[in-house]
Amino acid sequence: MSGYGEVMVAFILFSVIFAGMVIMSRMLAPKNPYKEKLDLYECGSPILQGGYKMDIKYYLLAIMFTLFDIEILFVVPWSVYARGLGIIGFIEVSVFIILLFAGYIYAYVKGALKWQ
Amino acid sequence: MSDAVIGALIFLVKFFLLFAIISVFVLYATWYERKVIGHMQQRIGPKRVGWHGLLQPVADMIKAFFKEDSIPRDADKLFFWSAPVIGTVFAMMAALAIPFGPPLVLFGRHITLDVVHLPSGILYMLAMLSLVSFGVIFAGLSTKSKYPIIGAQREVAQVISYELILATALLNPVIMAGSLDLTKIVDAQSHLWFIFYQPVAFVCFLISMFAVSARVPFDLPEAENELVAGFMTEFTGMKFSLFYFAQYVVIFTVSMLAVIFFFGGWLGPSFLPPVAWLFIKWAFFIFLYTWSWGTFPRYRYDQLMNISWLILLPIVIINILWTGFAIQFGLPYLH
Repeated sequence: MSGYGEVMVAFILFSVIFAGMVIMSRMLAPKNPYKEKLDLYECGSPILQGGYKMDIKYYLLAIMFTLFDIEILFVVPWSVYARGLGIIGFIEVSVFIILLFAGYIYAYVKGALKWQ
Repeated sequence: MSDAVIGALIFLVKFFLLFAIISVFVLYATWYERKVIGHMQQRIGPKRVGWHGLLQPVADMIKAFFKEDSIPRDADKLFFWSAPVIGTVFAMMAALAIPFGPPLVLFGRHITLDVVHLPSGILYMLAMLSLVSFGVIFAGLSTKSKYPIIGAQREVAQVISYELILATALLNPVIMAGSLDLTKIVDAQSHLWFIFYQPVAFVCFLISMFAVSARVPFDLPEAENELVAGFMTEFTGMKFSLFYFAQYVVIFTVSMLAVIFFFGGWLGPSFLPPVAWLFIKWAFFIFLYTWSWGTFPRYRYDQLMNISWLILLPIVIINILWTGFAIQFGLPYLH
C-alpha cells in the first residue's frame, strides 16, 4: 500500500471506531425521553422560529479567506524550489504577492475587514 | 509471508499504536489540566478517584458511555449523529502524518515512524485540520438552536482566519528546508533549529495555534458564560465527549507541528532516544496551553478578528518575502 491508499484505509477504520463508540453508548445508556427533555436549550430568550440568520460579515470573511488561501497555495510550489529558482523566481513571486496585497489594501479601505 | 502482507501488518501496528498514544494522551490531558489549573488557583484538583485522582479520566470515560443520549426534537438527526464523528475522524486523520522519529531499519526493512508517509505531509495535515471545522458547523446548524448556531459560526470564522496564518507561517521553514516532507524538514535543522532563523514566523504560529484549537485566550466559540459551551450545547454523553476528544487531538497535532517545524523535532543530544526528545519538547507546548488557560482573560470577538486580518496577515506575508530575499542573497545568518 502506498501513502494515499493507507490514508483511505485509515479513514474507514477511524469512521468505524468512532461511529462504533457512539452506537455503543446509545445501546448501553438508559433512555427516558419526555417532552421537556427533548426541548431545545432556551435560557430566557425564545428559541429560533423558522430558519436562522447569518451576519453578512461571515460571507465576506469566507470570500477573503478563499482569496488568500489560494494565494498561499500558489506560493507553496515556489517555496519548495525557492533556492533553485533564483532571483527571477523571487521577483516573480514578489510581483504576485504585491498584486494580492493591493487587493488586501482595497478590501481594508472598503471596510471588508472591519468588525464591530 | 509476502511483502504486501508484512507491509499491511506494519501499517496496522503503527495505526493502533498511534490510536493508543492519542487515547491515553486525551484521557490524561484532562486529568493533567484539571490538576494544574487547580494548583494555579490554589485548589487541589481531582483527588478522590485513585492516587491523586489518577483514575479520574477512566471514571469520566465510563460515565460518558452510560450517559443518556438525548436528541432534541427539532434537530436534523443525520447531521446531529455524524457531526461529532466527522470532527473526531478528521482530527485523527491529521495526526496520521506526524513522524515520531527518524526512519528505523528493522530486519532489513525500512520503517518510517509515521503511520502514513506522504511526500507532501504538511499540506495533507493542514487540509485535514481544516476539515475538522465541518464537524463543528454540522453540529451547530443541525440542532437549530440559537447558541450552537452562534458558536459554530464564530468557531468556523475564527478557525479559517487563523489557519491562513498557520499555513503561511509554516511556509517559512518550508522555504528554508526546500521540502514539504516533515522528515526532511527536521533533517534540515540538524545544525540549528528554525526558531533561531524564524522568530517572527514562530510567534505568528504560536498565536494561531491557540486560535485554531479554540483554547484560552481565543476560546470564544465555547465561551461558557455567554454561549453555554457554544456548538456543544445540545450534545450529551458520548457525542459531547467526542468533541472534546477532537479538540485535544488538534492540540496534540499542532503542538507536534510546532516542535517539528521550529524546535528541531527529535533532534537532541544522544543520551536520550530521538522519540524522547520529541515528546519532551512537545510536553512544553502542552504545558503552554494549560499555562495560558490559567493566566489570560478572553479576547473580544472583534479584537480576535483584527489580530488575525490586520496584524498577523501582513506580518507573515512580509516575512515570506523577507525569507525568500534572504535565501537568494545568501545573507550570512543563513547557511
